[in-house]
Amino acid sequence: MSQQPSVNLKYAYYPGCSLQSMAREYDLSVRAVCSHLGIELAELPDWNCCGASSGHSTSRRLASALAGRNLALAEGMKMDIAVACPACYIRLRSAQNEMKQDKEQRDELMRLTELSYQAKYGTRHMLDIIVNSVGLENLKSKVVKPLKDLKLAAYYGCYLVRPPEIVGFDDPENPQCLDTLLEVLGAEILDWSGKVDCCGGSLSLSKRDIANQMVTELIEMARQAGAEALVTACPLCHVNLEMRQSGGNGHKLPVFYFTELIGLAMGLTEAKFWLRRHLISPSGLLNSVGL
Amino acid sequence: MVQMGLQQQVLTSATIWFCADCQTCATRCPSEVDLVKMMDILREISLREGLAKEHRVTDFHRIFLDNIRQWGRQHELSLILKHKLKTKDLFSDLSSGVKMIMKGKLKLLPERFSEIKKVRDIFKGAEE
Repeated sequence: MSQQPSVNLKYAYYPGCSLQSMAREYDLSVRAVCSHLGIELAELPDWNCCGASSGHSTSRRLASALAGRNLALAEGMKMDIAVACPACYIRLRSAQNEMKQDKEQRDELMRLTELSYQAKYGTRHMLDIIVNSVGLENLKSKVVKPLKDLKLAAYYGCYLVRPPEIVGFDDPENPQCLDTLLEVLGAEILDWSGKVDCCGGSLSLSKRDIANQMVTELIEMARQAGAEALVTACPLCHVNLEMRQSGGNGHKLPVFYFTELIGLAMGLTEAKFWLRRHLISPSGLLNSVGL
Repeated sequence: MVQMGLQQQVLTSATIWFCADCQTCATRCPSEVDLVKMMDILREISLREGLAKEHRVTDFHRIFLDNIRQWGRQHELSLILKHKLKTKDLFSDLSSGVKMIMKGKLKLLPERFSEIKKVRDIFKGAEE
């Protein structure tokens, strides 16, 4: 078993818009954790918004070109893309998949962006990279502060697992990679039935009542399973789960990014600054288990 | 419904705009019907034909894309404020909004983006 992580992991990093503001703590924790795991992230210069739901809900042509420009920029760097936001991840993977199969779409992208693109490089989610390329044995060797006694519900949501033919690196109905990763960090992982349910994040602003109801159901399921916090890999789930939870502040379940917990377990001192940015403070919970 | 000739009801329905795009239907459909793509196509036609009625959602999409055209990347604070003005819903989520600004979760100003012309060309080209 190797004690050193692979040193040749290098990706074109696509942060996406949310990680620049709302989910800055996710971006900071991704960068810090990757640097400690020997993953080199070269930020894609002049990346643009992937178009998200609004792009493909209104114009598939526009959605494909917005995502495609980023793919072409990364291909120019001769690197696979690493992405942390699952909503960006599905947009980039979908565009890549369409263009791989359809030369006309590639030609259209070249016409719109004046960039050449052959769909030669891949797009991977950070969770996939850490679990499957760094490897959990490597990760384990970096844990200095196990997350003992922390009872967590791993929440995958939609785009890490669906549709499996586009994004899947795990089972779409009962994925395990995040559970296993958190176990390696020393936490207690609970079995629960909401791990791949949608939180309604894309309707969080436009249809608040629907998002409220979906979040309430998810939180109730996690609570019933005995979870003290949820763990996500998605900035849109994170803000939706924090904002749309009902009840007083003391009764809300904190929500962590998985990279924040890796950072905590690796003993990175900057982790406390990431966690201060949460709307639901996890400090009471972490103090209660001596973290 | 579309197959039964009820296009008008489908294209004016709120349902196509309430879909949260969670991909569950297409993933689980035993007949492999790609409902997700169908929803996208219906929404696109509904907007193009001026039949969309669920304005809270369509306004959100329009503002979201206008921001990208303007800045290349999303600026969340202006997305929220413009949507609030447009839907005349100024006071909901006020306390969480203030908390998010205090925590630095909502940047006050959009980022500078040097290749903005390239993004605007994409919009122009895709609209042709």
